[in-house]
Amino acid sequence: MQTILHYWNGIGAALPTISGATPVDDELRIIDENLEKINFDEHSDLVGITAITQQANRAYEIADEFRKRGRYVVMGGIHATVLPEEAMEHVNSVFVGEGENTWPAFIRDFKNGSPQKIYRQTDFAPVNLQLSPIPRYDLIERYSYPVVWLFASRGCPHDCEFCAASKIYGKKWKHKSTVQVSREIEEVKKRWKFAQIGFADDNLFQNKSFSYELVERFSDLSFTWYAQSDLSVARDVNFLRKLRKGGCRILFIGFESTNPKNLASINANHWKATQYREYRNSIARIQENGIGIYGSFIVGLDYDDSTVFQNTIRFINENNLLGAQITILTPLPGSRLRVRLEKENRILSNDWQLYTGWNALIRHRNLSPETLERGLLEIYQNVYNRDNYRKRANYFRGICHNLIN
Amino acid sequence: MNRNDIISELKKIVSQITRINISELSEDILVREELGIDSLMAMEIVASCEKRLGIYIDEEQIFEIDTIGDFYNLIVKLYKEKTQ
Repeated sequence: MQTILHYWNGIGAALPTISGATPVDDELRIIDENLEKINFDEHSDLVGITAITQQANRAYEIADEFRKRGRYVVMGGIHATVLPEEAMEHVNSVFVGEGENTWPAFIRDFKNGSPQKIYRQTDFAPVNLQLSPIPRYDLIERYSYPVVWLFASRGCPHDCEFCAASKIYGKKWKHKSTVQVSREIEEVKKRWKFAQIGFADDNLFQNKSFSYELVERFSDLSFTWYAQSDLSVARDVNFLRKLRKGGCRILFIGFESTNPKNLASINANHWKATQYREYRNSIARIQENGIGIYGSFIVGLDYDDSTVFQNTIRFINENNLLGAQITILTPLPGSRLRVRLEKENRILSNDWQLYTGWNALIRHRNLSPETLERGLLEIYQNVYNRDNYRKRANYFRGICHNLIN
Repeated sequence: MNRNDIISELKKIVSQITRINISELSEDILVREELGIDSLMAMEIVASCEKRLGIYIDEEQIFEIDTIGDFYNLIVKLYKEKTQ
């Protein structure tokens, strides 16, 4: 459990990247409110905020406080991208989509005294990630992050119903150059000697030649890292060996459900469902190569019933997953799921601060909200109890012994 | 091997697995909170120590460790118990 808290305890690459796209003679300061109190009276010409949905209420409070003091406030990020009209009630300008093109355009307009209300990436040429600036890690180096998040690519072809990523970044996958990524890693390692690197990419290994080039390059850099991937990496044992040699220690993989009926309804292309029969073999193959899997699971999918909690526990423990993150199905704005559940009148709350994955926000056919929330805790308590931890630890001890020999 | 030899060997193991320079591995560093050692890394370190030093480490003993110094002390103790 400590690892999963550690895993998510870092900062995303959005603000450092946007800072990198800002003219160098502009004075910038990034504040991470998880670690530092905001001084609303500090002078600034411009305040920029980014937020995911569960942070949106707080983002609006911050925006309102700054606007009360006469500041010009702008907002981007996932929530503003999927609900720009809502964000506009609290800020002066809103950014929809990726920021590499829209932000410099806004800065020019702002300096000319003619900023627009909304900047949409779709009104600009597609973002070329190979021209994306080096993130300004110098602006956050005062924070002791255990994990620093980078991204090497954007986009995911699977378009899972519950996920808004495909809507935000598109289904077409694009990537930075491996030289760019290596430079970013060197910038991070200069500043945080113990920090591990997490790749926030929704699905990093989608292109075989890029994946090989990336991990070959990482073998020359001395660092350990995590990434998110789909299960297809398990098909190439040679790549798994190179992944480990390149410093990859954990892959975060979305299994979502142990019920094939649920999996069949997640993607239009049935990707998850087609992988189901390979789940066990693929997990074993990845972990036997010294890469731990953090599995992601959702409870409250349409075909779940009261057996979902024990089935999820059994799957995680039987497969010796290094760790697991379990959430209750959440109708995130921007997702196809939300559109469907709205039509079915099944959304119980639009209070964004409850959109954490820990709260039951949907009306389920078989499971009450209380049952979902209680069941979620039951899974965590079982998976992370000491006996199961010991069992998994011994499983990995055996794997490590094999890898040494 | 005396205590210094064992600690020197342990520093190599920890550095190799965490990919952190030996010079940074001072004894007061917290293994989980600062070094970010997760259960997989911990087992890699355990397995390497067991192989190189011919000892057995009960994973319960790993739970009790907070700092790198605690880890060195545990392994030195186990090695001495084995060789006495």
